[in-house]
Amino acid sequence: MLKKKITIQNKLGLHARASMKLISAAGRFECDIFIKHNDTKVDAKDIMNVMGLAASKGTEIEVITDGKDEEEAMTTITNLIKNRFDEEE
Amino acid sequence: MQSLSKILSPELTACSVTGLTNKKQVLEKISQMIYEIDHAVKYQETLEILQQRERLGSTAIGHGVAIPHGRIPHLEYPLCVLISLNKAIEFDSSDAIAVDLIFALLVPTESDEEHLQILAALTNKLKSKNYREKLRAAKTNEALYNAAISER
Repeated sequence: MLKKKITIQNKLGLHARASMKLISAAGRFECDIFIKHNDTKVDAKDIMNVMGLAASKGTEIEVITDGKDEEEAMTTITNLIKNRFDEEE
Repeated sequence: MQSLSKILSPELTACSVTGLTNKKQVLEKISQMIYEIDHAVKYQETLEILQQRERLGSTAIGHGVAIPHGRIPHLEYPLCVLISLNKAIEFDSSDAIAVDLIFALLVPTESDEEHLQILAALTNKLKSKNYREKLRAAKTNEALYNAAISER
């Protein structure tokens, strides 16, 4: 199991489109992937749960991956967040 | 948490709507409903904004629900148009389930944080099967509205 803390950097935060990109990326991996925000831990492959976090810009979240391809999953998800979900700002 | 009663209203709620057979017609209906409440919000502009957002990726979020949304010029405060369809339609949902519950979220162009909070409040309620069933069981606009804002 891998855990990594990361800050949401894009202006709009984990809004609908960003959440969908996250789910889409997470869905490609076999391992379990979770996003933790304060005390709430949600399945990163579930759109309603991810959007329900209201993680705005500047929010620190923890990405947790657990399973066979956990390393690749962690890299992909954290890069997506670091690259601001390919948004302009 | 944001209360949905601030953004939903009976005038922007339509229950068991018939005659809408595709996504475009649903977006047209949403734009029409907003325009009727507030003529400052332009029908064509709203429609184009909603369509543009759909082109980026379907706003269906599973379990027969879709959340079309956009930032609309001349809108003073966030609004949510709620429509339930008599017959579910194709909405390119990733779970392939046809959509019959539509919560269209329209926010002022400057709204960032508030938009996110509303979206979260909405999806957190929609996660509940019980909530979705209550919405689908409603037979009138008022019943649908009341089911949507119920806290339980």
